[in-house]
Formats: sequence, structure tokens, C-alpha cells
Amino acid sequence: MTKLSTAINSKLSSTMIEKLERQQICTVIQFIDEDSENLIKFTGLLLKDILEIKQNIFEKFGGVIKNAFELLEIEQNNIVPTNLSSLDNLLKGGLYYGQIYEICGISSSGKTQLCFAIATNIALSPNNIVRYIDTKRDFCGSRIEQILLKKNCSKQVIDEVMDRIKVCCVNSIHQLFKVLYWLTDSLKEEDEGCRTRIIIIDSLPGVIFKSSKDKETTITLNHLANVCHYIAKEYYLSIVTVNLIIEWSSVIQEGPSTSSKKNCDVTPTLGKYWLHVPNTRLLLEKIGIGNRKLSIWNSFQLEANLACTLTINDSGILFP
Amino acid sequence: MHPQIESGTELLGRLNKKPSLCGLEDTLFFKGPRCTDIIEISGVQSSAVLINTDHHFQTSKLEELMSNIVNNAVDTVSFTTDSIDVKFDKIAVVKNSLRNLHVINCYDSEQFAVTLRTLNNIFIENTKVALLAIDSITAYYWQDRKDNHVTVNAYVKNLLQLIKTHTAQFNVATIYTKLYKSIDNKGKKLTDNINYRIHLYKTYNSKNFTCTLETTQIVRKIHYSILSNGIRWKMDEK
Repeated sequence: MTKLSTAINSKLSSTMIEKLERQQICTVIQFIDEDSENLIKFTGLLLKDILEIKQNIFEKFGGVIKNAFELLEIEQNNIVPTNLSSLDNLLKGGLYYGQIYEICGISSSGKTQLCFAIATNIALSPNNIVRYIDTKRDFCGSRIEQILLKKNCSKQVIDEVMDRIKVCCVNSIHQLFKVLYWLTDSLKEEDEGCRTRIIIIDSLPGVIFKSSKDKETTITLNHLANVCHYIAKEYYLSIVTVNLIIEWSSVIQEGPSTSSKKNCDVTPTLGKYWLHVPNTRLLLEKIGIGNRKLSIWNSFQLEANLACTLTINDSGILFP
Repeated sequence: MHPQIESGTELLGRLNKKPSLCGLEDTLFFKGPRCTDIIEISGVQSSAVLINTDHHFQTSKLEELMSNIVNNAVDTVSFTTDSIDVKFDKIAVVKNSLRNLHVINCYDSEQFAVTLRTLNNIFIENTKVALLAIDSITAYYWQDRKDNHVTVNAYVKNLLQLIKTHTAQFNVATIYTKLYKSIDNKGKKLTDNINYRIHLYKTYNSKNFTCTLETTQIVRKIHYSILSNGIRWKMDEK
């Protein structure tokens, strides 16, 4: 909770703040909750000034009211196609700002490869910067180069694309937060012509699974969700996270016959709280050699169970 | 009746004629964790404020939903007029309806707390607002719990008390979603802060949705399905 400070309004001096603190009014919320008559008594300010300070607090710390009609226009102007045609079809045109997309799958199902393909394709446009937060030290520059070479890109284009993919390695959840907080500041400095369109976090279990206490993890995830929503909404970009899945198998005996049906419940890791955080969750599954099925697992916006198939080879991800 | 001192804003709120919310959702008037979106589709010239804390709301999804509803409505009436006119009107209906929805994005517990306290100002500035929607009220529960151990129920109750003080005088209805179903609510009477409780659930891996509607008088079970033009209630079961 934010403490009262002179930065809120020049009329609020540090001696007044001290006086208020003695009355147990320390935070901005305590200030606006306090009766204005009492505040006049404690500070010696005029009612007009008290109301002005309260208004300042509302503007500075409250949410901004926006019209849905204007939001729609912003939304439609900020769709970033991945240029993986089948994926774009699934996502109704591409990645929408303010959304958290999660790619789920068992290990070696191709999640990181899909991230590479998305990162490369988006960074191919000179207007787009991609932020790649790598928690497993898996990022492979030569793989990106290989994908670009297969696309017949020139040396110069390859250099430029590589330059627009900003990679950052983190080892702990603490470092992840540090990077995200750093982004909340540094994204302000970006130029409209060339700015960050997507942040890829590959992968979350890499830094979160280690946490031991369940409640601690939920608090951390709540915090993470809030920071991610803030960045994605306020800087008009989308966030892609990578997550693992757990298969819970249970054998169900059916009737008098001896046949038993194997039932597999598949859930993403990171627990119950995280289940509803990403707006769209994609599931990547192996089908045969080299082929993968990518489907919408659940989504607040898109129809679930729509799917496409893809192949992973030298030139990256291919949709037949 | 005991005399009551009324402030200027209270008087203003009381005297301001609010647009009616009739026809909003005939079956019950509903709001669920899945579709925050349904709320605004009223043609009743009223507006709504949505406090977006879970960020599941997407304006283009709402627009798509509204377009489908308008299209369906037009199809059933079957106009004989110029089709271009109808198409133009349909877009205009959706766009004008969107203008009636105000969205406030919140990103942390403090911002949410301050926003709830600014509701008075918002309602004074936008007199047509008849509905406040919060999706969801428990979005910062864990963040708040870090400093203060409190149960979900007590947490929600405190927030409702706060909301009530800021909405009651303005004749604004409040609708909110909450993620956690609390088992201890079962069989418990609705508290004086809640008039309706709508519990939505679905059988795992199926498309069967069920809703339990609870008011102080009745408890009803209704099945429903989610379609491209919103929710269809199946009324046969009582």
C-alpha cells in the first residue's frame, strides 16, 4: 500500500504527513477513507484542499475509465500475425494485445520450437521487437539463423532480425520479476515505429516449480498474473508463456466385464490458481514422427478444441 | 421513519432517473465467470461500468457476440428493406451499444481499492450507468492475503460492504464474479448484501452447463448452453 507523500500534492507537507501518521493515517487509502472534517482538523488545510488531494489520489492511484468502443478500435489495430497461417486462423488473425497465451505440452513436444518460429516470424517485420525471457538457457541463436537461412534471408536481414529478438536469461522467479519490472519502465521509452509486440516466457515451470509451499506459490502467481496483465494491456502487446502438463491416470473398472478403461486426465502444471490466468491455452501433442497437433485447449475468447497439425523440421515449423 | 441528512451527491443520485434494466436477461439476469460479456447487450439506453481485474474480457469478443445477437434478431424479423441499410444499421447498433460500456482496468489490489472508492464520481459523471460489473471480485485475494489472513467469504463481504456504500445511493445494480466456490455457502441463507446468487458449473469434459439461481425466496436449477450469440437457457426443468 502506498504511503502518503508530498509528491501527491504540494499542499500536503511533510509535517502534515507526520501529524496524520500520529492519527494512524499513513496510506493513501486511509486518507480517502477518513472523514474530510477530521482531515481539516489534523492538517489545518482548507476543505477545498482536502478534496483536491483526494481527487489527486483518485486520479493517480485509481483505474482509468475507458470506453469499450475506443478499446475495440485499439484492439483491432494491434493484432500481430504470427505468419504461421494455421495458427493465425486458430487465433482469429494473430496475437491480440492484452492477452496471455500459454503453450502447453509434455517435454520435447516442440513448445520451444514453436516459440522460436513465432519469435522469428514476428521479428521479421522491422516494426516489431520480440522479448524472449529464457528460464532454461534453451535459447538457440543458431536455430533462429537456420530458420532464417531456409527462408532465403540475406545476411543483413538475419542480423537485423536477430537484433530485434532481445533475449534475457533468468534463473529464479525473483529475477523474472526483476526483468518484468524493468520492462514496465523501459517499454515507455520505446518508439512507436519499432516497439515490443510480444514477450515470450519460456518456460514458467523452469522458475516456479521449485517453490515449495503451496500458498506461497499462489501468492507469487497472483503477483505474476497482475504484472503480466499490466504490461500486456498498457503497452499493447501480448505475452506467450510456456507450461508443462501432468497426466493423471486412473483406471476405471467398468461393470462385471473384466475390461478396464484407461482414463487420462491432463492438466497444466502450476496448480489450480494459474488455470484461469492465461486467456488462451494451446496444447501441443505429438502425433506420429515429426508431426504435431496444436489445439485450443481452453480459452475465454476462442472456441475450444479447434486444432491444426504442424511439422517441425530444419526450416522451423511447417503447417502442411 | 427517522429523519436523514442527505448530502448533495446523495440527493442528485436519488433524483437522477435511472434507465431501467428490464429486459437485460429475462430468464434471471445473469453473469458468469465464463462470459463477462453478456451484460452490455441491452437495448435499454443504459450504460454499464465493468471493472476488469481478471482481464478475461476482450472487446472484440464482445463485439462478435453482439453482432451475432443483432444478426439473429434481424433474421427473425426478416426485413424487406434495402439490405445495405440493414447492414449499416446493424454495425451502428453494435457500435452505439459499445459506447455504453465503460471499462476500468485494474492491475493490483490498491488500484482496485481506490477505484471502488471513486465510484461515486463515476456515477455522477455518467448518469446513465445502471449496472456495475466486477470480474472478478477475488482477483487480488491472494495478494491481499499475504499481509492479512482472511477467508474468501470474509474478504468478499468486506468488499461488498464498501461497494454498497458507494452504489446504494445511485440506484446502480452490482454484479460480480468470484472464482472460488465456497462449500460452506451451501444451505446458508443469502446475506443482506447479496440478493441473487448464481452458481454456474459444468460437468468435466462435457458441454452440459448447469446454473443454480438462489434468491431469498427461491432456489432453481436451470440448464443452459453457450452459443455464438450468448447463452441459451433451457427452461423446461423446474
